[in-house]
Amino acid sequence: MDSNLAAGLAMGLGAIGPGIGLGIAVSKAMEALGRNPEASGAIFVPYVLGIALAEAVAIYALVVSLLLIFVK
Amino acid sequence: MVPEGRANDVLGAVEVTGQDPDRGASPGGGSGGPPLNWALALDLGLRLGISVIVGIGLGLLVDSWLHTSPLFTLVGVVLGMAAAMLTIWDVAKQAMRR
Amino acid sequence: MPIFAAGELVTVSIKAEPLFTIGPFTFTNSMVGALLASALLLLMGWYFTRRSTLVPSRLQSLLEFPIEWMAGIVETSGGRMWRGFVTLVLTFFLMILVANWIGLLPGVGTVGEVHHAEGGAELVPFVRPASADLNFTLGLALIAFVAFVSWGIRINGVRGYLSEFLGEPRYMAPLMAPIHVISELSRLISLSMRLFGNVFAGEVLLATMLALVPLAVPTVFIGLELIFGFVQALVFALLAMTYITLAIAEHAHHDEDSSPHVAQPAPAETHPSAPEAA
Repeated sequence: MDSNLAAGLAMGLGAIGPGIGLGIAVSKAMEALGRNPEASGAIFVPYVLGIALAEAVAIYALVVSLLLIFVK
Repeated sequence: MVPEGRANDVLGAVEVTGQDPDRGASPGGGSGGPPLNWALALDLGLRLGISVIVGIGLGLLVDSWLHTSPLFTLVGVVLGMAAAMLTIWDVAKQAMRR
Repeated sequence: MPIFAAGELVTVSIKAEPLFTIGPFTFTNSMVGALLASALLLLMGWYFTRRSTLVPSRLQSLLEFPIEWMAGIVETSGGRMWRGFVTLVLTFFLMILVANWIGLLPGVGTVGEVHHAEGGAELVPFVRPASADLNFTLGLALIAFVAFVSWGIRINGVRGYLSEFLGEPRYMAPLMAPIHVISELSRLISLSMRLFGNVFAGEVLLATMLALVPLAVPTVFIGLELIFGFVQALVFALLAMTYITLAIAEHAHHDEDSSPHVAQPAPAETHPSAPEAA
């Protein structure tokens, strides 16, 4: 019982940070793209790296919650 | 879509139909370099997370063989993080080459 | 373990449930789903080879459309040897697409037999979408992995492929080799886990929604699953293509010059790429 609650809390709380971070990153990228639409090639790669790093944190939270459910 | 039989082209006919170069691939995709498309973007986040997990898993495996309890697990964590950073470095280098 | 009873929460089990046994071999319901998807694709292939004409009829154009579209993508971003792996990428795309979309047909995942086990009743559906089974996705990812390795060895030679493992400064080889092994394994596992996670979560979502509000709301989620199934099939196929192109291009990546690759047979340029803005 406790491990289910812990798993839910781990994923739920662990997704707050990456969610906010990804939102900020995407909004800045959209803003830069809006100012200068021809720079989409130059914006794309750092944008991809940024969202990959933020998403990796969410994956760590997911793995912790899966471990809590499936490993006694 | 192109009305000629692209299916024939797939199956090995000789002629190459001209296509507009940026269909389906975001910047790059030139003469043979690996393309930087949106599928790679979706993939990168999950790969970074799983690199660390695979590193920890391999470390645990070696630990269970050699009975050196936390040593190889920690080495696995470090190697997993290094693999994640290497992945990012590869993508950045490939982009800087363009 | 999975419990299906009116009024309780519905769960879908992670492991595919076995249906019957033939000799030493157990058939699970996701195997039935995979066979159904393969049968549909084979039917489409038979139709193409038997009854297709040069000026296509409407059904033939409809069936040709995904093939042309995907082949176009592979041609533009696949590099020089795209003809070698375009059929593999197409097979990945079509197989995963049909396997995902079979999960949306009425009766898949809901029509089955009820086993009364200890603690409650359990619904074992007859058909389950194949990509909701980790065995299927892991098998596809293994096929893709063998494709990456074999293309790398075929184009760059065993020496070239292994020199990629040992990294650029040779003295760092004992550090770079395990890191590279971990990186390759993470590609394999991430390919299989992404597909499995998305389709399985979609199954659970649909089962829960159908149990909660059976009347009009699940339509939205079936639409969501349609889009997700398509996107996941596309991502798998594009990633397979990208990694094969990456494995092929490793050799020229060390040469540090942008002239055409010296080690590869070059029948013709695919197309002169337009001067990019990037």
